[in-house]
Amino acid sequence: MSAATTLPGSAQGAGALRGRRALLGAALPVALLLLWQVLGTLSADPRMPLPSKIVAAAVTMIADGELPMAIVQSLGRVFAGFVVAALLAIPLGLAMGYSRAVERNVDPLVETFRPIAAIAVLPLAILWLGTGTSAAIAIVAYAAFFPLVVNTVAGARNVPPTLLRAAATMGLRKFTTVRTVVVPAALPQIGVGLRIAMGVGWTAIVAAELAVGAKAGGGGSGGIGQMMFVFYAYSIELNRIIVCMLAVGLVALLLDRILRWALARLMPWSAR
Amino acid sequence: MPMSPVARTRVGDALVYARTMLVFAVAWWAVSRWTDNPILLPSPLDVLAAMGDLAREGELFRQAAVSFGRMVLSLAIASALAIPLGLAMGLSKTFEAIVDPTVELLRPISGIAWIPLALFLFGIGNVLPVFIMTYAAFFPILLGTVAGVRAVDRSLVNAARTMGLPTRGIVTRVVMPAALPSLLVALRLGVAVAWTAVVASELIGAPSGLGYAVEWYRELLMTPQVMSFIAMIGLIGYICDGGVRLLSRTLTPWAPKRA
Amino acid sequence: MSADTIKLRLAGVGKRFAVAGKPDAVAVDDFSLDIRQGEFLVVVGPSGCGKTTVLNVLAGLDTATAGTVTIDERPIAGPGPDRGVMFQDYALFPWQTVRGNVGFGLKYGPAGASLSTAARNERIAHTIDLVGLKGSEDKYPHQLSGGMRQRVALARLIANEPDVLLMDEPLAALDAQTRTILQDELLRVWGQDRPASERRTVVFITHAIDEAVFLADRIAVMTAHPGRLKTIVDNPLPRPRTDATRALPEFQALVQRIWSLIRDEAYRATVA
Ligand SMILES: Nc1ncnc2c1ncn2[C@@H]1O[C@H](COP(=O)(O)OP(=O)(O)OP(=O)(O)O)[C@@H](O)[C@H]1O
Ligand SMILES: [Mg+2]
Repeated sequence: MSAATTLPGSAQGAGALRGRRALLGAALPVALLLLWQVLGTLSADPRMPLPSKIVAAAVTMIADGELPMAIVQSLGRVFAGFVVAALLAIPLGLAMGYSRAVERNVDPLVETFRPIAAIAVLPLAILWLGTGTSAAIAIVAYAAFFPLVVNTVAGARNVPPTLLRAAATMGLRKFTTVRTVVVPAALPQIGVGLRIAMGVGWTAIVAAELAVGAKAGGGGSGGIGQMMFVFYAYSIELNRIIVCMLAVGLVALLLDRILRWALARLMPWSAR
Repeated sequence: MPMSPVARTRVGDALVYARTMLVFAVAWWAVSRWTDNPILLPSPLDVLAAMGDLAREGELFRQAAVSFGRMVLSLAIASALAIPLGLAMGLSKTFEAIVDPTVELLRPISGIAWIPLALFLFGIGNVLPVFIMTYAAFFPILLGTVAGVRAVDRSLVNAARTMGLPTRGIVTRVVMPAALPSLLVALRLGVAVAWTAVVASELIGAPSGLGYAVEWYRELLMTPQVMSFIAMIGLIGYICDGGVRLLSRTLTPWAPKRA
Repeated sequence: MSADTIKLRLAGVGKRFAVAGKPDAVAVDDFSLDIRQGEFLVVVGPSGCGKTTVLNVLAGLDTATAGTVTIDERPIAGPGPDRGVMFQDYALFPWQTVRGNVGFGLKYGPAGASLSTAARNERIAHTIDLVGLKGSEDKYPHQLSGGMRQRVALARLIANEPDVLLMDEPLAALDAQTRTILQDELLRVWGQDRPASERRTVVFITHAIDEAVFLADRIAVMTAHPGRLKTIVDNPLPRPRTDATRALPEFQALVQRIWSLIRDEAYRATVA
């Protein structure tokens, strides 16, 4: 290529660089997968999971609707728990962030229960609500509650004082001020809380379903976590377990992407 | 002179804390009287008594020590793997380009999702929880290290260079200290996720530890004991978090305080 | 109401700020001034002399640590919609568009309570037009230039039609032409063409002396360290003021006089 054609070439250079990066990045996973395939084929154990078998298992599991069904079931629980947590945590967080008195009196409870991992509460939830869907929803709600409260409080606390002053000079009442100033100003931070809550909620549901599957036997209540456990406990189908793991990761990624997109739509004012 | 209002606030905060928890305990007690089912909801006094027994027999601390030991081991392994890798990724664009996509592929798969596979690989025992926790703690520590190295002020590196430090010296004397605050924040996150994972993995795949004990007593329907161990899980989680924060303060007294 | 009614009265007002580990900072000391109903009062003085502090005390956003402040002979206890403020840093709501910001007080405060939605929208559109932001109604603050933001803040104040307008360097970020146009508009909104008893009361802070002379009935000159009232200069220039006013020799003479009053102050302030 002549010098003349590459002159405006900083963009072209960047493109080439990006191409090189993608190539470098793909090399390692591809190499690892190939190695796995080759070594695995050499192994005598018929249960040995192989990339090719994993792909085949994924195709079957999707085609017969088994995997999508389980994911939908788990997602339903996550959303239910997530909504419960949001309905409790966001108003509470706003009140705590806006009023020092509320914060001072309620914060001890939040700080006492926050370090208790949601899964630790699962046995209690099973005791109270059984091994069905409600216990799973409760665990998601518990897990999602704390990141939501903490971030809402932080958001409501850090409303720029000058905006509150501006609202005061226009004679807004307290409740109106919360609705029109505190909430929108806290929204970006609440959004951070929602994303964290969604992540921990998804992790919690997988854990809860796994534990329910492990402790309550295969007759439990389904969902992707339990499906994984059943594949382990009853048939040792490692390929299928790995498909489930990949699905767990993919759903986590998608949930976060969707939430991020929705939040950006909700907050068109925040400069990207 | 400026000391006294701080001290007064501390005492005041402690009083408010005690009051809130007292209100909570009384409400709990009232509900437990009303439901009148000690298996579903024992009174707080029963739980205190059970906690006392468990503490006297030493079981509470034995199980706590087991879980805590596993977490410390896991954090050590995770740090030993993640920090050098993170340093290398932060320092070399090429290395980062090679490794980063693989990391990003694995990262969304939560540690807990590894439990069934780990059950097959390691069986029920000590290895499984350590593996799960190491995996869980690995990613936050790695990302924190990379971010820390990335954020190192170029002018600091240049300044060191003008003073004639060799590359090795720049890494150990400039890059690592500058990346330390970010690393410690990441370590705090790592502790939090590892502690969540310890409970889940012990609940399912270990013959000992706090998670195991919680589930064991649930099966026996001994709810006061269940609650005692849950409280212990919270307490240790809280102490670990405080420990990392203390570590941050002592190791990086120059860093701005974060909430 | 007679034109000589006192609208706002500052009597021996002082304001100290507590500074950790140091003696209190005296921002304003022994400040006494009566502002008449319908008066256009301009405050000038070197940077940091306490102009904003005085304005905040009048707005009720800060409480004086000494002396008394009254409006219509009643003590000022807090901010209220009778005293609109245009903040030095604009205090625009980032999540509201230009239209939303201008209409904020009308929509959520008492200012628009007696208006129908149509009348409200009419007033919002009119005010946006007035400050020359037609066509930018749906933009968010981060999409506006500094001067445009300042005009939004100005429009928000004007749209609320408060009795008293407290304005902190409201035209500082504008180019010379826009500034001239808006000075004319401001005089019109204030009620230059109406009898004095029907005018609004304006307290206007500026660093531009020609602007002060063009707008003011009286000019209060402040000194720094501590912030005190140095003198009050009457402005005899006839109203209505137009472009021709600026060409008058009296105009130039008054600018010179104020400038000489401030010059040694500004000098002292920068050296101190
Ligand atoms: N919250 C505060 N705490 C401590 N000191 C303050 C505070 N607010 C203002 N001051 C001090 O009071 C003095 C007057 O401040 P003020 O903002 O009223 O000045 P100003 O005349 O409006 O200046 P400028 O023309 O730069 O806007 C300054 O010395 C400032 O440092
Ligand atoms: Mg000012």
